[in-house]
Amino acid sequence: MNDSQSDATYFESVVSEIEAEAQRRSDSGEYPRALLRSLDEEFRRWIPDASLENGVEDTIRGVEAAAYVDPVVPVDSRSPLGRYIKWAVRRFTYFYHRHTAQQITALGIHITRPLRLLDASVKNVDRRLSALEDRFDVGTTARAELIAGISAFPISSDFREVLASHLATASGRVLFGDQVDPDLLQFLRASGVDTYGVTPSSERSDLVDVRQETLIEHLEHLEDKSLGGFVLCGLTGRASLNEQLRALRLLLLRSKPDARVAVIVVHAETWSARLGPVAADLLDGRPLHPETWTHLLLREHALEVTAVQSSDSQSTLITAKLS
Amino acid sequence: MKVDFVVPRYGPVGGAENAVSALAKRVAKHPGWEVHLHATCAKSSNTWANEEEPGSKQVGPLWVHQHLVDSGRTTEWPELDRRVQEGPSSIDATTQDLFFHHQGPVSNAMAHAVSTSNADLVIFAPYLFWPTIALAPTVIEKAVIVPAAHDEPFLRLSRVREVLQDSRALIYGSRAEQRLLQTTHPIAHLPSTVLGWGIEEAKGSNSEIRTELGLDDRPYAICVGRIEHAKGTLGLLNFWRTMRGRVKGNHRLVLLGEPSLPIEQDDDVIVVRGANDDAKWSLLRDADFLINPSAMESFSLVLFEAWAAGIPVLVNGYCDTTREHVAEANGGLWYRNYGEFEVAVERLATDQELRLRLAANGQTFAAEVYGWTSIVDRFTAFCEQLS
Repeated sequence: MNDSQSDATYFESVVSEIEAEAQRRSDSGEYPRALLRSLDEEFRRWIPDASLENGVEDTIRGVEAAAYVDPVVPVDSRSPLGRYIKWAVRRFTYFYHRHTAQQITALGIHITRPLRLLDASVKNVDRRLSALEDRFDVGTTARAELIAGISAFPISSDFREVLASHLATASGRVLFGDQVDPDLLQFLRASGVDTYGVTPSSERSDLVDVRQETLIEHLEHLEDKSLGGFVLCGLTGRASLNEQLRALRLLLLRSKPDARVAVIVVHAETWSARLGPVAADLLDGRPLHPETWTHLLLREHALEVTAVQSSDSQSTLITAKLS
Repeated sequence: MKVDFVVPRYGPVGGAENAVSALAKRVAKHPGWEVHLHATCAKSSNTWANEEEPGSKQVGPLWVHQHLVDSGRTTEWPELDRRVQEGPSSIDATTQDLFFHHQGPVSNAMAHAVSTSNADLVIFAPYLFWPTIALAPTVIEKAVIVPAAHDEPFLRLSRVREVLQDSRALIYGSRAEQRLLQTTHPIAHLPSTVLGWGIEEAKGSNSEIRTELGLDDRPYAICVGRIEHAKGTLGLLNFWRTMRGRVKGNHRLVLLGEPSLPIEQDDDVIVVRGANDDAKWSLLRDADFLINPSAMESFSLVLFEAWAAGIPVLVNGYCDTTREHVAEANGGLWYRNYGEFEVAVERLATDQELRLRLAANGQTFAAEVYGWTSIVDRFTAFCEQLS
C-alpha cells in the first residue's frame, strides 16, 4: 500500500468512525429530540434541494420529524418570575396543548404513510429494473472487473487524415469520446475541427476542453441537435451491447441533420486475444463488428457510409453523414 | 493574445472577483499576452457605492480600468429579489432585466469600454451581476463566462440561460459546478474547462495581531466569510453553542467576517470584523482547523487558504464542491447533521495527529492541482484553443 492509498484508507476509516459515533449518540437518545430537530431543520433550510441524497427518504424523515409536536413548552426565561409564570401557564394549559399536539401528530402520520408507500413503490421499480438489466447483460461491476487492467487499444494513426477530412465540414461542435487520444484531438483541432473530448478517465482531465464524465452522462445533458458530429471510440470495445446501442441512439438524437459521424471499432478477434478466454466469454458480443456499425448507421438512413481498415488490420473506422 | 476581464469590483473583495483578479495578474505576466481588467469603483456589493477613483492604472503588467457606477443596489431590489427567489421559472424577461438592473452595479462607462473592446476574448465573472448579464451579450461571440455559480434560484432564470448558452465558452471552478450548470442549462456541448482558482501567497503568523484582537492562548476553530444564513454561518453558530452546552471543550470559535445580523459574543464565540489580509493569514495559521459551513460554493478558496496555512478543514457534507475537494485531498472532514458536527469537532479538537495528517494532505493537493503554474498553463492553453 502506497502513501496515498494509506491516507485514503485512514481518511475513510475516520469518516466512518464519526458517522457511526454520531448515529450511536442519536440512537441512544443522548440528544434531546426537539433540539436535534430544530438544529437539523435550520441546517437543512440552507441546503439546495438537489444536494440532498435519498430525496424521498430524506423528505419522509423530515415530515416524520416535523410531525412530532412536543406539548411541553420550554419555560426558560431571563427572570425567575418569568420562568415561574411560563411554568404556571404550561401547567394549566397542558391538557389543551397535548390535545392539539396529538391531532397534529396524527395528521403527520397520515401524511407520511402515502409517502412511505410511494417510496416503497419506487424502490420496487428500481429493483425490478435492475433485475431486468441483469437479464440482458453482465452487470457493470462484473464487466469493470473483467476488463480492469486491460489497456485500451491506441487509435491507429492511419485514421487521422480520413477523420480530419471527414469532419472538416461539420457544422457545429464535434464530440470525441469516450477514449480521448490527445495527439489525435490536437491534430483535429489544428485541422480546424471544433472538437471536444469526453472521457471517464481522470488521466486526461488536464487536457484542454476534455470533460471528465461518462459519455452517457454527458449525452443526457446535451440538447437535441446540438452536435455537428461525433467520433465514437473506446466505449465500442469496452461497453455492453446495451450501452453501445444507447450511446449511439443518444448521439444520433443529439446530432444535427447533416452531422458528420465516425465510429472507431477494434476488431472482435483482436479484443478476444487480449481479453483471454474468461473475459471474452463473459463479455460476449463486444465489440460489435464493423459490419454491424455500418448496418446500424444505414438503418438510421445515414449517407455515404464508408469503412476503412487500419494497416495492422486491428481496427476499422466507419464514417458517415447523417441525413 | 489580448484578453479583457470584466468583474463588478476590484481588490481583495468578493470571492470570484478576487480569484479572477489574481488570475489576471498572473496571466498578464505571460509572454505575448496583453491583459486588461475592467471593474467599477465600488467595493461593497450591498450598495455598489463608488468608493474608488475612476481611471486606469497599471498593476505590474496588468492594466486595471475602474469605471464609475451610475446605479447601484436600489430600493426596488429587495422586492424583485424576493420574487426571483420564490419562483425563478415564472418571471418574465422584462422583470428579469429589471432585477439585474437593480441588482447592479450599472456602469455606462464600463458598458462603453466592453462594447468597444478589441480583445480576442472578454471574460466575465461572476454570472449574477449586471456587468455579465447586460454586457456579455454585446460581445457574445468572444464572451467567456466564469459563472462562479452554486445551486440558487437566480441560476434558473431564462436570461442567465440565454447568456450562458450564447457565450463562446465557460470556465468553471470545480467539477461539481460544471455538473450543476450542465444539468441546469443545455450548455454541455460548449467549450469549457474546469480551471479552479489559486490563492495569493500565504502570509505568516503575527502574535501581535492575536493580542490586538484580544485572543489569548486558548485554541480555536475559525470560520472565514460573510456571517449570514445563506453561508451557513448562523447555523454553525447554533451548532457550536449547542455543542458547548452539551460537551465541555477548550476550543472557541472565531468568526472572521461581517455579520448580517447582530451576533452575541461570549467567551466561546469571537467575531472579528474588518480584518485585513495579514490578520486573516495570521488567524488562519494560529487556528487548529477551519470550518466552512456553506452548502453553496462554486470553489471555496478559503479551503485552499486553510491548507496553505497548514490547518485541516471541516465542511458541510451537502456541498458537493467542498466535499469533493476534501475527499480528493483527504484534507479534512465533513458533517451532514448536528450529531456528525459534534463528533467531528471533538475529533479535530483532540486528535493532533489527525489534524496534522489532514492538513499535510490538503497542502499537497492544493499545491499539485491548484498551483498557479498549472492554473495559468491550463487557462492560456484554453484561451489559445478558443481564439
